[in-house]
Amino acid sequence: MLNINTLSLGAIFLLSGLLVYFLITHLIRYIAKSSRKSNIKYQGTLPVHLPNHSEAYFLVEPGGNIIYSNPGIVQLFNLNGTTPNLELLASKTQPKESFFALCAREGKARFNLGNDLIEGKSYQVPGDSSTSMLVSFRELDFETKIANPAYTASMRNDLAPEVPILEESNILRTKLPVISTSSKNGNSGISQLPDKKYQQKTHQLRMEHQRTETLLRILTELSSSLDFEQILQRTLEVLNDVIGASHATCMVLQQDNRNLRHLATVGYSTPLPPGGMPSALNINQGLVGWIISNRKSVLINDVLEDERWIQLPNSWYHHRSAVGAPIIMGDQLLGVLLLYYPEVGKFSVEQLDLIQAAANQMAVAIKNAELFHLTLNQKEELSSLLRDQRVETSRSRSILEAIADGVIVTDQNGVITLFNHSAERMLDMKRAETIGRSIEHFTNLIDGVALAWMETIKVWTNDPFAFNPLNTFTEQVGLENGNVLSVNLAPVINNSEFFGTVSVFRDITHLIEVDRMKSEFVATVSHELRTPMTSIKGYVDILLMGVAGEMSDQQKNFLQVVQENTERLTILVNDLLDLSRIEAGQIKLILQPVDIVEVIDDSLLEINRLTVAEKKSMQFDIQLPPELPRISGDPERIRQILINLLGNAFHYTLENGKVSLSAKRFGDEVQIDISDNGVGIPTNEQERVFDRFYRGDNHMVIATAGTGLGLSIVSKLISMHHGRIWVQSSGIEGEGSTFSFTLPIFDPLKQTAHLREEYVQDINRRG
Amino acid sequence: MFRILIAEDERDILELITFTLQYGGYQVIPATNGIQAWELTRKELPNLVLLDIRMPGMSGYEVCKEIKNHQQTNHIPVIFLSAKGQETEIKTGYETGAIDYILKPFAPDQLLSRLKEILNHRPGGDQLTIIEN
Repeated sequence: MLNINTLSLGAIFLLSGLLVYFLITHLIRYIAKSSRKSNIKYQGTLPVHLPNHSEAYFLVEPGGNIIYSNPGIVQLFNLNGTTPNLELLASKTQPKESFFALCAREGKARFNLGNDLIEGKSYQVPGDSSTSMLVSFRELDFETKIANPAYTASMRNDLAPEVPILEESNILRTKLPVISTSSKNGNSGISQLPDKKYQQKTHQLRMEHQRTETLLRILTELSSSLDFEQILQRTLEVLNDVIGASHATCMVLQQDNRNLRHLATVGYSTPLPPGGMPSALNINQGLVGWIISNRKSVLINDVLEDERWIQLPNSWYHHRSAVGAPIIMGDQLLGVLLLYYPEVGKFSVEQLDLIQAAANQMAVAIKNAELFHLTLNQKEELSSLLRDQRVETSRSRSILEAIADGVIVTDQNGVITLFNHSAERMLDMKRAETIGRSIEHFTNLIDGVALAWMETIKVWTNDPFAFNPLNTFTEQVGLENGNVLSVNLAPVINNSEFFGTVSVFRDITHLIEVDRMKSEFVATVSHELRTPMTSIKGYVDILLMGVAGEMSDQQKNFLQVVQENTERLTILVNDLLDLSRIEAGQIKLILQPVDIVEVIDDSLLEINRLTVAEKKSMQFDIQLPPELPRISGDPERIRQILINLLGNAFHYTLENGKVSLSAKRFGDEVQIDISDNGVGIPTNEQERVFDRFYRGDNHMVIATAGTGLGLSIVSKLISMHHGRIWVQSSGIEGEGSTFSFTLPIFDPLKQTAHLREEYVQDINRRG
Repeated sequence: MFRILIAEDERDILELITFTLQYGGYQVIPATNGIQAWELTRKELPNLVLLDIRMPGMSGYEVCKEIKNHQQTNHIPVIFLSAKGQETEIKTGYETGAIDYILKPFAPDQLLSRLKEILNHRPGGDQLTIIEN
């Protein structure tokens, strides 16, 4: 965090330093250019001289007489009070030719002066009859010095207002004639210049001097603090002071680019609130609007005569003169700078120029501040994001640590990165021994199933394409201490990139024990229920067979009721046991290639027996294509499914109704549809028909013996075959219903060795 | 006449089976526990053994194993007649050497037809005739 601060602070200081340098060199270039143009306004401008005299200059006539030299020359050339002349100065330089060339024509030259490297520049200063040459010097390491903020600050002290700017110019003015009278050459150009010219020149000099110093002060203000509004305020104060305006305002365009805010003002009775104050004018109104749309500075001698001016009705201020400049950075308009005075004709073109230069510097400062705030905001955002993320991460981690399941996370290299407390307890390993180590180190610690688990992690880790995103691995791991764990392994994938694996262990020792007890219970109940039923059914059957003596018809009828209900009870017991075994996963399918037509024929025989036994005639319509592929399934279970569905269709259809069965191939499945024209199933009951114990309340359903378990078993058996079952019915009695189910077509390639083995065993057993 | 040994600890059921078999024309050798069943089988060498599984003393599985482990008895066909309907129990029954597994409750006429089917197709049936002669 600290780094960002110091970095941005440093960057701003560096930027300011560079700006000072840029400005100075730019000014010198600018002055040189304008003097060459012999433009009246800028005629005879002097180069920058700085208060600590690091810039030294003199004015030399075409004849070689130095008619003026500033104190910097004495200091630079180490003259100790001697009056400077060309020969003396040249004698101290190396090579002299460069120095002389500089004095003879406009240009630039470098030479050595003692140990220093000096750069000199010369400009022509046009006079009435002859042209003098202004020669200035600077040490070349000056740039490096000025780039140093401490140095700039020291300069600022030198610039304290009490340094009398005018005074120096006065010295210049009073000194010049003195030099000229003491001049040995009476024909020198300077002495012949009228005093008015000198005054004019002095004025220009003063203006330039003032301009440069003001800019430097502004620059110093602009780089003195990071408080942006304070900077603008102080800068504006300096500018206002120097220009001699009564009121000044700096307006900055808001981020929406539609509104302006006063961010700094001078001369107004009420100070600005923090954050400034919105402008009363729109960005396209008045003088401000003109400056913004034209992107030009403006000087108005009398605002009341200018049609761009809008006098605010409730304004207390009566501005007459106005001067304004756009604050522009590159192509971007940032704001407007405006200065006023209550009298007409206050401001000059030179001042306008200075204001524009100040506006340019303000633009830099505004941009800097924007950049600084942007950096600051980004830093804040970033750190709060980091904080949030850290909190989130530690929260997730705490959850994973606290969870009752054992959790092991490996990274994309198979290295364990998380091994929670429960995992420690279940696997009896310390996390210190596991975290940071590859999963391969633990292959011999757990049994063979765990090997498969680790193998899967390795396969996924080594080949990022070995898994598909829904892949999971579930196995049971038996530990040496007799405990049994279930392990669920899943790849961690984000945007289809493999990040590692997560394994969740659960102690299922207790579950397995409960499961075993449940099976035992089911087995016992099964036995205990069947035993009394054996006696009941057996004796009733024998009585009905008539082998224990003749019975009256009524006796027979009564016994038949007993027989039917015994049958019903037997079915219920069988169904209950079937279901509980399916749910306990105790029923394993013996998958093999099955000729579905054979199983259908077999089931129809059974249904036929039913029609005979119940003396209920029914039309059966069987539609089978000549060729049906073999399906993969357990024929006994498929027969159970078919008998159940056909039995339902038979039972829930009125006598002389019609039951249809058709089979056809769809892709890699065979679909079998069993329809009837019986009672049908109301639409609101359709999704419940596969629920356990659910039976409709139709009169035919109630009249038929049944447990409500048949369809539940059928649906479970079908899903064990990886098939689907569904029902369609209009719910209107007489339109019946259609039960459809699918079974996968037998594909030798898909049959695993495991299943084939089981099949072979089964064949041997049955054979 | 074929002789069939019945091992059944439930007296009601033993009587039921006895009655059914006698009606079907078989001679019945009743046993009420596993040990008795094995001893009678060895002594009487019946044409077929009908075994319950859960019995005191020796279980039906054990009796069946003994029958199949002894040379003089291993030709005798064994049928389990049990209320144990779990798949594993049925599987165990076949593994001990039984030729059929009939689940209780059973229909008497179906039991008779099954016995008839088995006895008429086994060489053991002829053997008995020879012994009787």
